[in-house]
Amino acid sequence: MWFIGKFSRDERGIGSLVGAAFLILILLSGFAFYMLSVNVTDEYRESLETMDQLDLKRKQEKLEFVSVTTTDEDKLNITVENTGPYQTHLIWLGVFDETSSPTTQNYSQLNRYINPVETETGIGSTEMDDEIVEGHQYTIQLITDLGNIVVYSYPPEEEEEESWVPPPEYFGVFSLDWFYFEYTSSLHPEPIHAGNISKRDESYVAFHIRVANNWNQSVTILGRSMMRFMVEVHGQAEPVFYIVKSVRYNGSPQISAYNDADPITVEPQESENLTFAAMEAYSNGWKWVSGRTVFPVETPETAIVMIGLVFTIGGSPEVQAQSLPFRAIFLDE
Amino acid sequence: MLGSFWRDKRGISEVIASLILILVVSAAGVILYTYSLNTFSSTGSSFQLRTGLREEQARERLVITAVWWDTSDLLNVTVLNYGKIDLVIDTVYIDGTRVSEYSDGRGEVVRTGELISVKFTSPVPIEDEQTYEIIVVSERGSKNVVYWEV
Repeated sequence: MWFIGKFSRDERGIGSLVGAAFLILILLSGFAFYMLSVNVTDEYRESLETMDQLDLKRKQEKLEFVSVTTTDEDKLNITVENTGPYQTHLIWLGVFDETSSPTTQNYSQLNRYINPVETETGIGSTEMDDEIVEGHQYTIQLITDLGNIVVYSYPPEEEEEESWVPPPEYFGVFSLDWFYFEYTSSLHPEPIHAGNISKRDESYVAFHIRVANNWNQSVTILGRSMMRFMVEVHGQAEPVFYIVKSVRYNGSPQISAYNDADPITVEPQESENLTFAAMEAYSNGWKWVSGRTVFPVETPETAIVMIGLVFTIGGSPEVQAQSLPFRAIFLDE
Repeated sequence: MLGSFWRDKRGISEVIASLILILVVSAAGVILYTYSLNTFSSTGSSFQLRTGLREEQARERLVITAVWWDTSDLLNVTVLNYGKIDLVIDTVYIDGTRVSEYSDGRGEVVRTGELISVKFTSPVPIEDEQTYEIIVVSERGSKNVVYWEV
């Protein structure tokens, strides 16, 4: 009764109450929406954090092959070490036969856990379906549940030595294109001794060769390169000739020489003409070597020629050498 | 008629007036509440949906483990799902060109930790000793790129 009485006395109260109720309902709806968005955002943030941690673990996961052998049943026997800070879970083993064409790719399921610093052996021995064929080249993959892939070549490829390796198709860097020697003398129509050639003679003797660079890098021929000329008649002649820039007659035989500071560079697959002459250094330059026999009075039919080229490869300071031995034939003009 | 209405001091009863007032306020409250409820609900649903999709994409991880070629134009890309959620391969691109002919693997659900082979005909001719960019895209938009040397 009191309530009705009060109610009946305050006509404005009921409208306010209804309005306030709806306002509260609207506020509750807004709060519910706010709580929902907070929850959804929290879940999203937690997922992002989880995946960030997963990515971090993935980056830190490290697995190294220790050895790969085959069992008596021609299955793989892989030993790996977990060198990372977390436990590794191997889930797939991939074996690719690279020898067959097209390659075959087989995956076998794994379920092996490896703790940090621990070594797991016998991987593949029970899980593989196919057999390893001797003589085939395989690529082996180990896949972890974090998505990391560790790859190994079996049998392991031999590591290339860093030292210089000659090209397989040649015995050395150079091959000889041709060889000849020229001899001019207005005073000595017969073969002469090199020592008999003087500055006043109109004669000189020079050996010309053409060599090709068959290597894949530029080769620099040094001035210490030389040639030995061994004549077989009587076994008496074995003069040594040195690489020179040119031998020419211009009033008197003139020699201009190379030295190591003035080398000859031959680019890959290019050829270079080289000249050799009997010479030696003296105080004012270069002169003919005295007392060295070019070839004997009795002209032989053949001679053994040994060209010794001293060079560096591709700008390397390491000095290399190659001999080009061959038998020369004297031809009548 | 109108003059007599204004002159007539007897009005409608207080009870009826109160009821009318309550009805008006209630109606206005219902309309406002319904509108706000709809607004909050649709905005909340949209937000929840967008965030949910983003969350699912964030939990998705895939990696191409191998590429196989039959020496013609048929390619087979093996993909690992290492995420926390199942995924579906939707599209493959070779050197930026979308693959249109799939023979296997596309649209199939790949459970977490599983491999799937997606087989398709390359939209660009494959040549020896060339390198190709292969992109695999999931339905949620996650992708993995590999540079495959033939």
